[in-house]
Amino acid sequence: MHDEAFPGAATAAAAERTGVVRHLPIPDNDAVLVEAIRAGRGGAAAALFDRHAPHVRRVLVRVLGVDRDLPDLVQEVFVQVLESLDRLQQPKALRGWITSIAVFVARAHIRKKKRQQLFRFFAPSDIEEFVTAPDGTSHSEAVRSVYRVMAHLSADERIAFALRFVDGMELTEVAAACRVSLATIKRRLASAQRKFAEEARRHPELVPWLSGGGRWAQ
Amino acid sequence: MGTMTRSLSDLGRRVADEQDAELDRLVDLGRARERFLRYGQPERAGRKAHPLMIAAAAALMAAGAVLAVLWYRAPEPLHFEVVSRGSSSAGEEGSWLSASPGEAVDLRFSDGSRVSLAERSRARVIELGAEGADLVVENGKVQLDIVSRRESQWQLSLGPFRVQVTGTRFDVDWQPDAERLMVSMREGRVLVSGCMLDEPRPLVAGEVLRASCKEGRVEITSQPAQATAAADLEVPPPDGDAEPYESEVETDLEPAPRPEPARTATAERVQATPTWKDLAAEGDYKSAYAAAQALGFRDECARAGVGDLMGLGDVARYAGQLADAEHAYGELRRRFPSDDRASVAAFALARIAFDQRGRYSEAARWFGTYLRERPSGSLAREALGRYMESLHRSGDMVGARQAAERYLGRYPTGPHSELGHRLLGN
Repeated sequence: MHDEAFPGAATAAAAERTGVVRHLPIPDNDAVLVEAIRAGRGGAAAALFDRHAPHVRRVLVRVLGVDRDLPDLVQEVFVQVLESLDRLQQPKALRGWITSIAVFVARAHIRKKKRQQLFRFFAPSDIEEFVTAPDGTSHSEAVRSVYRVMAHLSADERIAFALRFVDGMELTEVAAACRVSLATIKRRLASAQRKFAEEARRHPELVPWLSGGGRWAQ
Repeated sequence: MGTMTRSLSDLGRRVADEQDAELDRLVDLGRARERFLRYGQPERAGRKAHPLMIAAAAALMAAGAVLAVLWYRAPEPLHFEVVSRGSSSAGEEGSWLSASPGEAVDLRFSDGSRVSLAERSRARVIELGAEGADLVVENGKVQLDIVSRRESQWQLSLGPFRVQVTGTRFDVDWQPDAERLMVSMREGRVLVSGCMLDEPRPLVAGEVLRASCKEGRVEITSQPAQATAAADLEVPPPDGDAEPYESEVETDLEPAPRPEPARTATAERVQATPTWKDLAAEGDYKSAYAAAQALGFRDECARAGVGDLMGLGDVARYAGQLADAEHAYGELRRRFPSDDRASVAAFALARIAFDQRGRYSEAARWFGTYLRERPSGSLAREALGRYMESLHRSGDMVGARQAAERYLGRYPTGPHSELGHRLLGN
């Protein structure tokens, strides 16, 4: 009866008898989390993932759209975070640090895809047109078209555009994520907007969105 | 914030909303976590490249570069010819193609794939890639014979439905007015999604899918594959001598009328026709609007039937002429209140109010109108989500939360579910 009422009790008692080490939960604080990882504390890597993976996933999806490599890229970001954590000077800035690593991983991926498109004969089966591939999502044609149009931007422009307009980051946040100055980000965004508007005119699904403002309709 | 920036922000927010509804499908964090904790650290922790490995990699890359120079030939996108009555012309990406009464139009792709439009059908090749093409079928019956290759990527959009294809033979029939789709498989396998099909539904040889978006109904029947394959499925050659196109399966969809035998049937590339309808069909909405304006836009509205009123509204909306768009949709609702398209016009009015005028209370009224008139219509999910969003933006938090409860009850994983949860404080 006792075990039925408290199913975990017997297991806990057994654990105490065999001397299992139990890790205390890591406080919900990035500075403490960084120290825990640096100290090699058990469970710290899992806590890092649990706390920041949703954010990393969101950043990657915003920049890349639907891409079959997304799960690998999430893993890659966290591996790089662990490898580079010693260089993080302000542990409180962990989230921004992770964002910038996600951005760099996404940029490397975009460039890799572009290279693969050039040398497609090397591994045709590994390559998908990551913008237009059948993806099993219920995304609307307009959303798919947005990423088709974004494919015409350079990697840096695409990242700035996605973070600013799709993710809704402030300009300063975009600049920090890309580790460039505010002026550079403004230049990239201006160029991205111009190219996006030009290319988007070829996509009727985007016309209702773009014809709202006079400048778009020019 | 400038107009352009606002438009981009609105569009971006829409993209983000749709993405947020699909995040778990795109990346399963539970599995990613397990993999990271199991494999991520050990594999990378001790990873140091040996100088010899670097040198070997460099040598391989150099050899690869030489090979690339010698052998590289960039993959070229497919191209296609438009064939009708024995004459052919080069097909263009993005242009609309239509088959007049009594004719069939054949699209012959460079990889050997063939797409045949039955009479009175309209379609467009919106994108050509090296491994396939994206096609939009606006209406009518189309037969597809897609050459199977390992990397084939073809996609078909039919209103709210999508069909993903690798290599196969099948027929589609899309009736946009009735919002009915039929897909009949002869060989291979496709994935059908959209509308009430939240998950892509595989179809294999011998299966026939009939879906009605309007009625929210899907029916899949199996027929012996041989029966369908044995049927005479050939689309009449575009010289017009053969029998007219008919689907090989029995269907409740209205069959296309047979052509007059003596009638001359020529392929008609819709590109330089003078009417606003033809220009609109080409996607040139500004010219279409100008053509309608030359006739007197509002006079044309007064003369137009329900279909043309909807078309005029769309043309004006896409051309950015919001007052005329509102006039056309309003006329449609006033003169044809019992037609289904009156509700679609309400939805269009809501979109103008929301997307283009930023009048959120007005948008909420129109989205609400659509929902009252078509509670299970094909746009109901979008309408309810945007109704909730409109109320939220107009400051009606009580109404927004009520709409959120309603939305999450009906579409727990819909594109607006995250907003719904936020509004309810979940």
